[in-house]
Amino acid sequence: MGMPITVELGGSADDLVGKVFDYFDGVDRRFSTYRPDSEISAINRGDIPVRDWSGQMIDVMRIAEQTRRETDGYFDIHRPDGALDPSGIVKGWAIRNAAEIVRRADIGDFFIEAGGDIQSGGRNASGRDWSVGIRNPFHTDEIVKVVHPRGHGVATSGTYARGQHIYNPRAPHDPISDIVSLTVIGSDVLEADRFATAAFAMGRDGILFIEQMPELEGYLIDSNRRATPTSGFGAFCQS
Amino acid sequence: MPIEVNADTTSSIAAAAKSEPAIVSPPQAAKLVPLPPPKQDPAPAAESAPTPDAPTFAVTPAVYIPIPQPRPEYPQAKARVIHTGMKLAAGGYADGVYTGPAADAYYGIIQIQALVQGGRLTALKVLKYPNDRRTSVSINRQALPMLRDEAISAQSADVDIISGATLTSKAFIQSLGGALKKASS
Repeated sequence: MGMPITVELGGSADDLVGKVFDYFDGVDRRFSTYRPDSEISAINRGDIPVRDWSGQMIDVMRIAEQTRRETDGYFDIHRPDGALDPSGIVKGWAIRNAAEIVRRADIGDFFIEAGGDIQSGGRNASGRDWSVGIRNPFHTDEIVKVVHPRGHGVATSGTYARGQHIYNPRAPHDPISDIVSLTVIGSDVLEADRFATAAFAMGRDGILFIEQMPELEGYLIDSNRRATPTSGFGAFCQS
Repeated sequence: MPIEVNADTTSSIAAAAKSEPAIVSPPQAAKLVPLPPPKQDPAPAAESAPTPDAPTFAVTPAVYIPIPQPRPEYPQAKARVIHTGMKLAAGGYADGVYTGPAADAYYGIIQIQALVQGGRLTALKVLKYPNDRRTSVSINRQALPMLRDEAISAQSADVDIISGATLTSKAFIQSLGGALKKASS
């Protein structure tokens, strides 16, 4: 965690925005592997038995295990050294929950973006569908695709900004060098995030995995600057 | 009703969410056992020690063939096995050991070897069986449409939101710190 977060809420008071940021602060305090006083760091030191894990931690671990099974181990929160790192799922999970806070306050027009993952609802201030630009991995101040998720969640996995932070759990020492960015559109941002992480670890086959999954669409960019959309992705490109 | 953003569980927040994973349950439900590193469990429990006059493999007194079941609700659910009976054709079979093809039993691959003695099926051995409840990810390339690729090209940057990988907090702070330093000099 510790990433920039952007929130836009249609016609609401500042205190709801404050609640959303407070929620993300709480998630960071609990799940950040960079914070020695977080719950996840304490768990990885062996300081907390499973029976004392928080409800939120168990929720995330349960979804991580389900994703591991559904992706044949390509999504796996176990690091090679045995530590648990649920970051590949916490981002989408937290954004999904923050979106629910907003909806329960009766705000229908909003977006929440954290670390490049997005959940939006309703329309922007001009009354049009929210537009999402996919960053050019080779030229990060350029957009290479514009999509209109219309309530769906968007997540992008990539290696270009942080280097090789995603690895293939089935071959941890092989770098994933043939693809650089995979954007997934799913029914919500948690679905998009968990499958974007897993599919990226599959290399080029990841876009086929997304094509095969009925409620996901994707856009893969490879190291040769070629992009491959899934067959239903184009529907999101229309405004 | 005020939202308890510091509540210990997300159930109170996410309860109204449309697309809940089926696996989510109330916080007071049984807690998960720890997630061990993925490891393969050893051979089926049904095997017994070979008897002296048995042929090359152990005789299994019961026939255990897992059949597809609805996905269990909890990831740690034990695999269930069902007794099945088998009726032989009236003419019987030639004695010998027969190995069936590896078959997709939905939860994984099973392969059965049959021992026929005196024209009768006397034992079955499971050579391969689904040893955990997971869906195998296989990509059925023939069933998928051809995906055409395209060159990437710059589009209008007039968008509401941007999706892409981001810098880590350390890099972000370093970068911001450097920029502020420049800005103040």
